[in-house]
Amino acid sequence: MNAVPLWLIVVIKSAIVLFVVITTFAYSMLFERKVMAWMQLRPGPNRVGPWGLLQPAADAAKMLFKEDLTPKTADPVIYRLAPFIALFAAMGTFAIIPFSESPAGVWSVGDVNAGILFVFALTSIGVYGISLAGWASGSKFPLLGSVRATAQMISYELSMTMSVVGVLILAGTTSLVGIVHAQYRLWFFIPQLVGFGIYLITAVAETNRAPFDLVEAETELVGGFHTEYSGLRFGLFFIAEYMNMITVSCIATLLFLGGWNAPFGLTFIPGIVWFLIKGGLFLFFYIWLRATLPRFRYDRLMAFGWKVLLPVATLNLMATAAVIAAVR
Amino acid sequence: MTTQPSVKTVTVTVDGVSLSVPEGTLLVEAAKQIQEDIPVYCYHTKLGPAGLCRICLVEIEKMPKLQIACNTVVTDGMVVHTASDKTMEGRRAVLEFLLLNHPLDCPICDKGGECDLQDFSMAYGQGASRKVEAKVAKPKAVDLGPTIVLDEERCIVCQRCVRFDDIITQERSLVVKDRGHRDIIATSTEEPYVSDFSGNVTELCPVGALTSKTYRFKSRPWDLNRTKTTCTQCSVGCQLYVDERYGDVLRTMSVAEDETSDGWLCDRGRYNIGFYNDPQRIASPLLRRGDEWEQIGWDDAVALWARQIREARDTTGPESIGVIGGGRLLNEEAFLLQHLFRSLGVENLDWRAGRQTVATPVFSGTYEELEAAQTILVFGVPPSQTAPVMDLRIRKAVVQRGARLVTVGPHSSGSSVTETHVRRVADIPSDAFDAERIAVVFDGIDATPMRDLHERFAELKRAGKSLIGFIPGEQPNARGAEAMGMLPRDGGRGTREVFSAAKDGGIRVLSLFGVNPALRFADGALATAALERTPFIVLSELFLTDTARFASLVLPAHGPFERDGHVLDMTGRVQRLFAAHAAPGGALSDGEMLVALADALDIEIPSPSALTARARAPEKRAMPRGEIRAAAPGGEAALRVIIRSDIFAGGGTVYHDERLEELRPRPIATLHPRTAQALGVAAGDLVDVIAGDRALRGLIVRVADAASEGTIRVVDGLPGAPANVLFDGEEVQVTKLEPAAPLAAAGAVAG
Amino acid sequence: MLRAVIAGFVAILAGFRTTFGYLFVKKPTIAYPSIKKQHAPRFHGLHELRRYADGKERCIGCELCQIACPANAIVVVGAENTPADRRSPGERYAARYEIDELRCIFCGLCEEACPTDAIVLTPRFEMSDYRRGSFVYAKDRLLVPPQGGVGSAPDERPNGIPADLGAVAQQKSTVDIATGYDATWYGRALKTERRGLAG
Repeated sequence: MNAVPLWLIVVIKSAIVLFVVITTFAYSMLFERKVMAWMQLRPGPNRVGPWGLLQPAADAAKMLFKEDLTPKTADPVIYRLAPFIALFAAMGTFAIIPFSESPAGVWSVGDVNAGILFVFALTSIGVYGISLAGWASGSKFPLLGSVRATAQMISYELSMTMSVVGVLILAGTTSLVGIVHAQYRLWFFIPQLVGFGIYLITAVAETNRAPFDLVEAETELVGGFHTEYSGLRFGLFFIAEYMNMITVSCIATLLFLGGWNAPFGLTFIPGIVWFLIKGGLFLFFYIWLRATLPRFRYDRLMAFGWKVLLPVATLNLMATAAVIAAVR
Repeated sequence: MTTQPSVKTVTVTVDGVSLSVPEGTLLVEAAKQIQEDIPVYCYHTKLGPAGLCRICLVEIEKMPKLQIACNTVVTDGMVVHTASDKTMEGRRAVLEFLLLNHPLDCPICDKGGECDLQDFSMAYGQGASRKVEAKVAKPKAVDLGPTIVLDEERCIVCQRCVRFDDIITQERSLVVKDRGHRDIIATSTEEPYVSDFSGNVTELCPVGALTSKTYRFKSRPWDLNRTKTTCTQCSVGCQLYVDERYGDVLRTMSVAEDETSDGWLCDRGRYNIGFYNDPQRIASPLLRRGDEWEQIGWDDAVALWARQIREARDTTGPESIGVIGGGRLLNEEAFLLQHLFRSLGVENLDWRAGRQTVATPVFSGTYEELEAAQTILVFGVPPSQTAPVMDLRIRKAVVQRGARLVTVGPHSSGSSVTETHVRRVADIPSDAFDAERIAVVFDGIDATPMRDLHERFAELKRAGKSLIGFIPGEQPNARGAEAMGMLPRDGGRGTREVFSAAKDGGIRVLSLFGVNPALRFADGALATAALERTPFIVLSELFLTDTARFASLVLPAHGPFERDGHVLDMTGRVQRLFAAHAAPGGALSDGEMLVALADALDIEIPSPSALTARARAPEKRAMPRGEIRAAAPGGEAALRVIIRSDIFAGGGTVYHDERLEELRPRPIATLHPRTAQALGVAAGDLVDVIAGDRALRGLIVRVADAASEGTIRVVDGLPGAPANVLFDGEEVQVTKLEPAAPLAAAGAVAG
Repeated sequence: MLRAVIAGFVAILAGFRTTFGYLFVKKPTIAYPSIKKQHAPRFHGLHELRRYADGKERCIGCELCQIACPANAIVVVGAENTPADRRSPGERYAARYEIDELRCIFCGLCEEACPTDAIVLTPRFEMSDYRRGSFVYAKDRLLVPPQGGVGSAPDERPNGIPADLGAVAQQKSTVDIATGYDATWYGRALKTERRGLAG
């Protein structure tokens, strides 16, 4: 083991994780289109490859070959940089997410003891990608989109963090592996039902997905922050959005659904499978949500965030703290 | 005007509405006062009642049977029902008879959609026919003449066409032949129906029996885009509707309520519409390069024009620049034309490019006054060919109002009404001047009789008599051009002097607007020599005419229906033109050309609104000019040439209208039988008419009793045989061409 | 207040149930063009100009279809038959006959207006193309070719997919010919409803 230098191990691990994550992104997109189609009585993509399985490849080819436009009024450097910021932040979180555990160690690129803080730090940077993209585009619809993004992120990030703090109090650690271990007997979504609910809602809002996709509300803002983007750069935003979806699914699995812990003692199935099933369910929920609920009105979005979610999250946190203090 | 005797009025009740109408009014006219349209076929306001079709049946109280409204004179206390059940039943029965043998042609009939038979069948007919026998079949598409096709099956024998030919034109060539269901419209002589007003019968025909050849199956009435404008084929100024479809002018229709035309159109105005999209029409400015024409852009053309004008002015002075045109331009354009060139100091401005020398009569009158005249004096070329619709007024005055028609000069009018023809002014019967209302119609060419009668006219005027003058000239807007100032002032030269100067090389730049002096100028030899010697000639035209042979630069202009503006008719009334057809992309209106030229020459021009105001308010001042011509020498026995006008003569719009091929006059020399015998020629021979070193070659001899003895009559304005090489009334010799001679000559050369 | 919140929550759940339920419903989509749908018996498709049995055109260029057309899609210009060039039995024929199939709303009023049953609507419906201009069908494409017979009369339309539409992988009838109902799930639902109302 010592023959292999640490940096090489990290590189190999990163490569594997990136490959898996990108593949997951590609097929989660196809999965979304299929599920949405079925829910809307359509067959969905079915022309590229058997059952449309090669659709992601076709989409990628299309994105690559489309012309990359920069508007005359745009700030050229920031305009070109913004998608990379978004993508960097989305991908960075996978560096510390543990997928499973084996006797040899934890399945992750790097195990950080303040893992959950790292995740929040990175996802907060992600909003810069969107805000800068909208601002640098130099036209009004993207600017409106980016203003919305900023306001929405700040409003919902508070509630999200509060809902997670409940879990941290229960687990007594900020290490993701530690949190999973703490759920060996009881998954945290049971004691933290309210927190779980808040996390579900805020996670959707944080990833700008329907019904919280006001940032790119096409009926109002054409394309929102990415109106001016095309080709590969638009594709990067696309990837970032789905990466974020996967990230929050993984985090939800780790924090509330017991990570790779098997339910009902079904330990003969490997932990990674459980992890994937739980994450997949969460992804499906995302899509289901999108197919079911209409988009929020902006003022209601803000009112809901500040007047409902934040008080409830605060109460939940105080109650959890009180109970823990009483028990110990 | 004499005071009208006070008219007695009678009161009549029509459909419950009490009406007061003058005594003697026909019921059908009285009903129009309350918009109660009684259906009519044979009745026409201008043709009067005939009582043939019976469709206008109405119920009159105290009369046992239905009466025809068109021939019933209203009486005091009459009570009429135009829509009672009995009336409707009567009309239904009449329609059933009319439709017995009428074919179900409506889908292909040119009248379909504007047909009275269709309309009244819908309104009063019974829907289905009860007849089970086969309909009587008659010939369809019978060629009635060069302009008209007759469908004998469709005819309902209302005889409107026959009565038009009888009452209005007085030509009486159409008759009803046979009786019963076999009756058809035909000419009495079995000859083709030829008339200068033939197109009117297609409009009068209430069904689709008489249709125009030019419009046959071209369109349906509902497809047409209609524009009301003024006809500028001659100086009468008739209003007409122009019907256009997909960029093609398909037909023109008269305006029934128009006071100028009285609701009639001549065939020139009606049918000469096929030249707009002729492939030979010029579509871009043409510059002469040797014997070839080169297409150039407008910018280059105007720049070249402006440069030539500037150079000529700067080197040889403004008197070396000449401008001829205006008779075919709008008032706006004529004003702009003289304004532009006067700004350059050019005074050689004239509209006179043909035989006509004066356009504005000293005493103007209206057409209504002409109709009311008691004596009509016609000097020179009779108006039947130069202003045909005006001639209808004269015929009406003579036949319906009992006026006396006196024609003075070598031309007899050839009109279908009674006339007194005298050769000289001195021969005018003296009682002709005794009338209270006298109208003078003067061709505007030779002013000699006007000068001779000057004192006489002044005397009549002093005596308080009504004396009005008309000059039916050859150019449509000649009067407008005069009113806008297109005449030489302050020592400027007129057309004849310009040509004389040009012949000696005194003119460097000559701008011609819509004129064809090579074919039309009275002294053709002078015009040709002048045009040959002028180094730079700019010509604004639609086609490459005879004059274009001499031009250096030809500019494509807009045609009559492509213009928007104002003209003056011969009575001095301002008439409005509305564009009914889009000009080809490469053409500019004369006004636009002048604006471009003014721009290139840095000349300030009036604003469009000022220009329009100027065009609408012409100076009504007469210019008492006119050429005085010395009597042509020669004895009584000499053969003299008479140059006749023809409504279908011309080198431009008629010559390039393929629909009119049959109507264009042939180069014919008309002789009296005794004259022909004396000369030893027979009908059909080819002859040359020679005067000194000038000759008019290759004319076909026609012998007619109507021709005057000792004269040879030729047609003016034919591109193949330009009669302007001769002078009107000149003594000529005639040589007969042997048919084999050209061949023999060719053989001799070859040998 | 609380009741309203609960009711709203229940409503959202009901929505979730609905969308989830649709996952397992059979999809009505027909995989055109590999599977072609049976059109209705009186379907209005691409136009056709018919001929008489002797090969003469039925159209007499009367322009009644043009004026009947509510979409202004038809242009007809008539001309006169000459003995040397006789196109139709009467005096007049259509020198120009054009239909802009993009403007056409396939209402069939031209067919009704035609006095000679010359213009008819066939069941052909596949006319997609890349240029707008190619949707203006002139006589060269509308008129039945001389060897193509006389065309089909409006009251005897062929009830099936025309053979010249290309390869048809499978004809899948979604129309219940007897009653005219669409035979997909939605059509069945309608039918059931109707039956319920009747019974």
